[in-house]
Amino acid sequence: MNGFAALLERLRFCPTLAHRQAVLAAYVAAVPDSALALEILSGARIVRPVGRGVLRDLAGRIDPALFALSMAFVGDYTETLALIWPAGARNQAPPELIEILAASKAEIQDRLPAWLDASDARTRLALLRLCSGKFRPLPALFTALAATPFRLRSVNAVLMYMQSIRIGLQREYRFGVWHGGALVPIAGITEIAEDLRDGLEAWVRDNTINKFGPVREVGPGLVAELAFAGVRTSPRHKAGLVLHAARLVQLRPDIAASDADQLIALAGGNDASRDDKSTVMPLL
Amino acid sequence: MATAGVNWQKDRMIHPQTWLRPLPAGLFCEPGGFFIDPMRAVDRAVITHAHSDHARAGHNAVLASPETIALMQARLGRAGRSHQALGWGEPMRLGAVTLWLQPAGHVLGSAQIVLEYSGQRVVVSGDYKRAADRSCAPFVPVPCDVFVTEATFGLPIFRMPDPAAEIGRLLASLVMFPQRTHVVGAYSLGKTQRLITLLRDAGWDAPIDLHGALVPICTVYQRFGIDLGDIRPLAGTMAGGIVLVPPSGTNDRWTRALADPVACLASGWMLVSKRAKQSGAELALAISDHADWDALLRTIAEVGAPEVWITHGSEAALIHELGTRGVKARALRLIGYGAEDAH
Repeated sequence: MNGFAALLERLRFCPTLAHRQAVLAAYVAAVPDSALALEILSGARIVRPVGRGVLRDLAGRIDPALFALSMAFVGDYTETLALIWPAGARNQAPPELIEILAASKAEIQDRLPAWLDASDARTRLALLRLCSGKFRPLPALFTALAATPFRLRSVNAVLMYMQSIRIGLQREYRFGVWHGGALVPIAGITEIAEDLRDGLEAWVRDNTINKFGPVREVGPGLVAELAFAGVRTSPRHKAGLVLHAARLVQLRPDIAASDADQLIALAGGNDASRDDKSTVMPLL
Repeated sequence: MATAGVNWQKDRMIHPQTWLRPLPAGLFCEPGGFFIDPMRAVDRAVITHAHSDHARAGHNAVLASPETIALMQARLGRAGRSHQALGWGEPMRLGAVTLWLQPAGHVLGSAQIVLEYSGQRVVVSGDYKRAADRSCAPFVPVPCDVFVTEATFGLPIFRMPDPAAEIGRLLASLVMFPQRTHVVGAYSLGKTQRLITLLRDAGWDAPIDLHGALVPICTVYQRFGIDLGDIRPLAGTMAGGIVLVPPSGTNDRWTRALADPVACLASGWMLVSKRAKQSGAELALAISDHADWDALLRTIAEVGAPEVWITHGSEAALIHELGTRGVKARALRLIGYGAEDAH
């Protein structure tokens, strides 16, 4: 969360779009799990926002005269609360983004005071903005994000279809990621490790919801980690892109389908995809 | 003078508010016959530190620390028509008042002025801070009856982060953008040298380039034994590295000659987004040379004064908070301070 807060501040003060892109690219290069941060910045993922009443309750812990004088100087309620919040015992670390995203509204409300205690002023501000729904990715920021080339080594995708290519011999498994609340296909995988084949096929049999000739559609329930070499634009695909040289790394039964990745995480190409056919993806 | 003081003493109460008063020219110590940090030229001035809003030109006689005298000479050509330097803790008689200086930890030579008269002790702290700073002597709390304090950052929103962590943000930016010159806006007296020592302590051994306006004060610091490492006047266009400039200079025309500069500004005000945004800085470093909210309260508790006078700054919140702690506080509302290093 500290890294995300620092990223937000840095982006906020960037003079030009090119500088924002450079900051984002540097962040992606330095932070192993940057996808979540990018999804939040793009608006593809949102934290379940607590009401304004929760902020008022937090501010209610502060001497009202001091809060009012501070508010008059700062000019922003959320920022005043972030700055004035008393320094807590720093033996706890601020929450990770994933913890905030996974929390229900009631859980956020419950944990927010402890999270604030564990954070410095910058992180408190990012936390309060994130948790109160005050967080806006600015249009300029979004453009920077969509145009930023960054490396995403893998993606957690949801199994959507299985197609029998030659009956009894080969299967193509098609995976998708979330976009606007629905799954959109991004990769078809035929090479499946031997030890996974039977299990996958059995899962498809048990979860088929539709059949179209050789194609079986399954309910969104199985998440797999896909590694890939690049992202290519593809007008033929609903997602507008397709993964290049994708392969299935492992099944992720520990991840709920709803927590699989968002399309925005695939914005931009990476080094391997910089050929004539691939362009940087303008998303949305 | 001494006789007049004694008569004066017989006729009036000894409470400090009767003998240390805010006048249009500044805080006047009547039985001593001198002003402290006067805003106008006066006959006798005791100066807390050499920032231009506290150390003005044109006084007849000036009393201050040796460092402050040297800094005034570097900035104004001279420190009054005549001056006297006073070392830390050396008592001195001025009229009916005994006076001595103790370090305030704000900038090189910055002093608190301790005044004793009629069994009462008043400490005029000038500007001060409690955070570590090896470019000047650290603040020494002196128990007193009345503590005269600044309140530049007298709001509970102002709690400064660790300066080493802020310098870490600058260094991280240099790693992120090694080809971009980081142009850091800093006041010539105090902030510049503090930034340099913080950078050195963080392991930045490379030469630091200085705008010409910052050089003379750095020379005074070096003369008083403050090690600033390899500093040099800015020459030519830089690619990468750190350049220190006066605060107004980060977006100047001449900086365009530098390699895609990152405008940075080091000031306590940078804690507040609105202020940071207004500054136009790309990297806002919250590094302050003033006591923050916690330091103000801690200091007032340590000196144990039942009464606090506030010279300038955000006094309302401090007066309110001190009231809840049983300390009587009032605002002197001295006009004219905070002009150099606090905007």
